[in-house]
Amino acid sequence: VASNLTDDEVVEIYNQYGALLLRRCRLLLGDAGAAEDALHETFVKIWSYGASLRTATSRLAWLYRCVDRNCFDVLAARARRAEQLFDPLAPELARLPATTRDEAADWEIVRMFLHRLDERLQRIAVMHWVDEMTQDEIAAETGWSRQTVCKKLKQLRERAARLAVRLGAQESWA
Amino acid sequence: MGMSESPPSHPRPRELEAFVAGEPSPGVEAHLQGCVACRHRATLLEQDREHHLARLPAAVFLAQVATRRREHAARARRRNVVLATIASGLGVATAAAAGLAIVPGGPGGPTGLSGPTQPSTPVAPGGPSEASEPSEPSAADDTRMKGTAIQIFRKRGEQVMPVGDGDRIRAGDGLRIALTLERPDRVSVWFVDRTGRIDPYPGTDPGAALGTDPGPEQGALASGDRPTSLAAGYTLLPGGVVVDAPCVDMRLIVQTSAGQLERALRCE
Repeated sequence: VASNLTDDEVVEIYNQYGALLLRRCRLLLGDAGAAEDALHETFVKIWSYGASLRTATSRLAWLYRCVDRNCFDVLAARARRAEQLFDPLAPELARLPATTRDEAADWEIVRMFLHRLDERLQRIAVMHWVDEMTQDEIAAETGWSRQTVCKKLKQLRERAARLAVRLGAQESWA
Repeated sequence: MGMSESPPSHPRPRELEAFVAGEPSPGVEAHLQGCVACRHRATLLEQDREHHLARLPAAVFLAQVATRRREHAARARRRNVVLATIASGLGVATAAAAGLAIVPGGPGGPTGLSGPTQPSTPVAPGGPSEASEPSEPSAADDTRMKGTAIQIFRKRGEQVMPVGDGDRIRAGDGLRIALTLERPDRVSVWFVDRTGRIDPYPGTDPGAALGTDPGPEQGALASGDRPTSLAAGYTLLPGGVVVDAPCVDMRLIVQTSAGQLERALRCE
């Protein structure tokens, strides 16, 4: 079985899922240009190695996993560049509220340190904040117990809150 | 974006998205019949898809991706050549994967260097030790791969000696390479220094301009494109190199059709 998809299959996937994948890239990266770039990269991989998509139970879930990994890589690369410039927090991040107010604000902050998490934690964060999955559903997908998922999410929220405080302090100092 | 506490009767975003994308879901379909809010969400997703495809049709997008694929492939080809040459671990792994037995005869790998470095400088064929041809190697001081062996000779002052275990080089040393092949083969030979600079051995790459630095990738490709045909048995390669100052730890890489051999050269 060929490991790559045919051109027709790729066209079909793009027509069916392209907009959704781009939307997800935007949610994860928060940047339209980077999102489009990540979409291109995702399709390069799908085209070359996407044969298992043919037998996937949910093609969308398969594609989301692929696009998520690409976005995590982009975030990590972005963080490396920022660290090289000794600019760990992008200026716009300093404008975030000092305390987290809701899930959307939480996600904005979690996204800042997403690249520092291991892949399973990254997936938990995305499943919770982007896919709005319940803890049971996340547990089923990750293989962790519900209690562990609950604990991990609590840790992520606490970390987000600490970072939010730091950002608020930075804003006040500025 | 909200919390996961939405009513269980509402489909999750991913379920709704899958449905909008055309994945069958009787539950979502039934739900949409009676839920205005979710129908609205679904409509927005459909509109988003239409706008997206109007802005970036499949033909245009795929042409862009195809271009990127070609760029990736070209980069991968260049990288493979360079990595096969540079990465010492990979060299061993490649040989191991190919079932080749490498007997490292040289000193260990180069250690970390500090400060600016200067790579070895290729010299013209007929260089430092043309006048004093070394004798054939003993098994003790070479690196072998199924009948293929590398031997390095060092000329220091008037003295020519094989570079054996523990021997080190220094600036001003002249180096020549001898290869023993089990059968006629085409070989390419490079020096790769600790900074990543690649210098084709002049004896195997007559096209490499002396005194120029084509850059690692170009250098590797140029040499890889022009391997030298050698007869079976022992061959002292023409030409040689002089180790420039300051001396930089380096590796000698020999690529044959059977695989890759390498030899570490450490500075005093």
